[in-house]
Amino acid sequence: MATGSVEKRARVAPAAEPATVLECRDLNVHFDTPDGRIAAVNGISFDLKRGRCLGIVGESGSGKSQTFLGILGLLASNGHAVGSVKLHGEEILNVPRRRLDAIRGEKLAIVFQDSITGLTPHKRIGEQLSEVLTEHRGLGRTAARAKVLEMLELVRIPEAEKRFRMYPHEFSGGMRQRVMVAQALLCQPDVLIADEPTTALDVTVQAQILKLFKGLADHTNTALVMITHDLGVVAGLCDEVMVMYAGRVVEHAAVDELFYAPRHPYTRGLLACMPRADRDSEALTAIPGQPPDLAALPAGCAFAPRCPYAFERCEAERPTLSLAAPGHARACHLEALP
Amino acid sequence: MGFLTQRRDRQLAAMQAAGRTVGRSLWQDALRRFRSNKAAMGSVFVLAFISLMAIFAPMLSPHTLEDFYWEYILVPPTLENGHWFGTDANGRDMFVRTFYGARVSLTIGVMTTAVALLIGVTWGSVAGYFGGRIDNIMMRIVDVLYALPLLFFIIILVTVFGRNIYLVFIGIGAVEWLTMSRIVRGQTLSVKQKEYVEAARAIGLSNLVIVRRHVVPNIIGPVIVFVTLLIPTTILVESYLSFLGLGVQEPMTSWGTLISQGAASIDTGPWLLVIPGTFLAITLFCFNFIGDGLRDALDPEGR
Amino acid sequence: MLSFISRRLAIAVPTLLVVIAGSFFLMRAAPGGPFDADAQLEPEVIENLRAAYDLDKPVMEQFLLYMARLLRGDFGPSITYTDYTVTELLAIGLPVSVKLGLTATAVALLFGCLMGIFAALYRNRWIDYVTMSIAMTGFAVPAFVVAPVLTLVFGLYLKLLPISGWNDGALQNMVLPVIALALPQIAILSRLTRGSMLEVMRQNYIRTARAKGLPEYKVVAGHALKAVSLPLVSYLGPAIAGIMTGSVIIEQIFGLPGMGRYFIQGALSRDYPLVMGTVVVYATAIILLNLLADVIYGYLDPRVRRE
Repeated sequence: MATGSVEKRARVAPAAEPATVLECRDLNVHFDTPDGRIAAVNGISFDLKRGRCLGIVGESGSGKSQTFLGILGLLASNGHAVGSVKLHGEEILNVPRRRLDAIRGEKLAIVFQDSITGLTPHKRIGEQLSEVLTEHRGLGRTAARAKVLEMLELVRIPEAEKRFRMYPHEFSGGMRQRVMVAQALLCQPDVLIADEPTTALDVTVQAQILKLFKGLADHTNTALVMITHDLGVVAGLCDEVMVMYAGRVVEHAAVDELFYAPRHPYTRGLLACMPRADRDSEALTAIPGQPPDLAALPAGCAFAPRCPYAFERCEAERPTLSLAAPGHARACHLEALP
Repeated sequence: MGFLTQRRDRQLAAMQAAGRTVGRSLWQDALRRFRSNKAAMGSVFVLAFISLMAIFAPMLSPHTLEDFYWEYILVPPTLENGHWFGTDANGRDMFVRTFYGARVSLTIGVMTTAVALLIGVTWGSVAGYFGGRIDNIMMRIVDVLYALPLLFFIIILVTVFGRNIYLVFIGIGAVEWLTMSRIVRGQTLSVKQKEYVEAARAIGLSNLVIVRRHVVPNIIGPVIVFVTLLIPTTILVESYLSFLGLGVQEPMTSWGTLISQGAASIDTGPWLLVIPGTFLAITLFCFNFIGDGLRDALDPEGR
Repeated sequence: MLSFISRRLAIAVPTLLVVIAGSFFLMRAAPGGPFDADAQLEPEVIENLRAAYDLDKPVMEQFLLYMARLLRGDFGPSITYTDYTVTELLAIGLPVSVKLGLTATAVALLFGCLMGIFAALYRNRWIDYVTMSIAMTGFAVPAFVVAPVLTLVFGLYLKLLPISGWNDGALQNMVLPVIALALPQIAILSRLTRGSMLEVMRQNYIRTARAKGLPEYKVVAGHALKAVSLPLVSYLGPAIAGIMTGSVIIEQIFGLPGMGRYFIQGALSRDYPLVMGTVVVYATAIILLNLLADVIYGYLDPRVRRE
């Protein structure tokens, strides 16, 4: 970012694989409710590399947000995360709060979807941002203020001086989201998680915010996780994509692979829902049926009830994630999509 | 539980739009949850017992409210002489007096709550449903009344117009409807803005049908909860007035009157205060547990 | 902020007028008068007395006369305490009630809030259960039961504290009345605080604050407490009204020479000027304190100020 180590990332041919920042192995998240235990996330594994962008795509309730809330230790009080998550090789899942506080906001930062409720309503924006720096960097008031103003300008908030003293409700949705991004970037985190950062915004503002993220992805070493239900967001931004359904990864591939050769019927369905300039709008289709109820999942493949290609095996046996091509994993009993 | 809450909200909206068949199972759900709440269920039984005693104990006891036993004055509670709760300074049987007092206190509690309910629900639902200027004026009136020391009004009312038990009903009822009207208005407003009501309006259902089918079933939960919490409040206000000598008058009696007499002879006969005080406290406890239980049962996401 | 306050004041003044007019006409509308009980008085003596207190004039004229005097700060003479004016009686009673009420409010706020916050932070653990049981008890056992029991235990059995009297507000005379007065408010405030705290801690911005890496005490103090206090501030008005009405009964039980005693005695003996005087003071206090609560609310919640 503002430091000297800015390097333009080579998107086409990486000379060497960048180092792994975040390593997630067999992560499970479940909630204990009065009606029993609900498994929201099952056996998620991935590696996040320095300066790369990972897209997580799925409908609401697919477990995409809960995965990262679990990693950050931000689950609701009845939620539990099990598995292993390593940041630079150090285990961070379910560590004591003190350790977690040192990581959150400093090495792992998150931008939430809803900026209206995501910022404390009765605290000035300036204070909310400054405290990140006073907490993690031990900066004084004036030093923190200078740094915050710099960051607000970086995310293109006009009249930062004036805005510094304003309250969240005095900002527009897009401006608030920029504030959230600025807040997450203050400590130049190793990993930035963006949880549907554009969902609540107008289309034009969406484009601006995405441009902001794109700039970040291209100019810094921060690894980006983009959680979204919109494949369009992923296409222009990410290197890799994980598609989630009912708490499991159903397809995991490089972004081009996934777009041009999807290997899971659900991914194909999602792609078909996407309006594209090069296609007739009549070709737009919706995936039939409802998202599954996590409390009552079928024994076999969770997508089987909605899948046009389902056969007997799909209802009896749950497919596991396996490589269909180099660097392209999917969880489907079909060898290839018809 | 962000995502589950959202999901359930959407399911709920879908169910309600689908019609009343699912609504019934929501009530069954609530009933099941309420039944599994031990404190609330226990309270129901205790209250039922106190109510039954209030009805039958004065009838079945060999003593009456106004029997003076000059040989038993200020006798502590005992099983020996037939005065289980002892006697007061006039030698009257406290067992009969306590349950007779229960009868009066519970009746006043229920009746005044009914008055408050009637005014509050009407006021709140009219304001909430019509909204706009009507809502504004009606709620401003509530605001102004809220700021008044209304209990002082009751006291003036009662001292000036004589200590009449019906005046106590109306006085307390007329004071306690304010919160009810706010709750009902708030609920009505929020229900009115839900998608399924907009949908109902869009398909051309009349106001009356919308109110009956969508607004009433939705406000009934909070109203029931508030009623169970209002009854103890009104019982308390009545006791307060009776304690000051402004409520129920001799020869009638209520828990407040008994407590007042007990407080006067606290050094010579503490049981005169402790027994009616305990029954009053137990009753207030029970109503509160039931109210809390109902709220949890009807709004499981809430607490 | 200034226009916010002036708008609230614009409601407060008519409210006070409504109270004064309401109580005035209510009392005059009833049959009978302050001299009914004195059966031995000659009819012409009563006539003279009535004239002396302006009671022979038409009601409307009486009201205007009263208002004119009130504006000059004169509450008129008392009918029962013949040697005193109402102003003098209020000067005796008001400081007692204010001291009692303020102390009870402070005690209630302190204990109520602390108990509620800890109950919420340790939800469903023993701290929660203990504080909520205390709260339940405080709610279910009314002040007029608690007060005599307290006098019985601490005054008559243990002989630790005086059972009645004011003694110029000495500490040992204040303890029991303040406890009896504060207990119901502690009960309500702690439940309110607990509920509000649980609600606020579920908000998204609390999650954001935690995601920033703030330790929990900073999350609570910096991001939750202001929002938690909002419903408490809205309850401040009713709480003050509750403490005032409670103090009427507590003053009676402990024999304290406060406003409440004058109010009840005035009401019982139809001492019109005395009742009016106490009502005016009570109403002014309640309205002003409600106004104060509104201003505090506006200060805490930046969204309210702007509307």
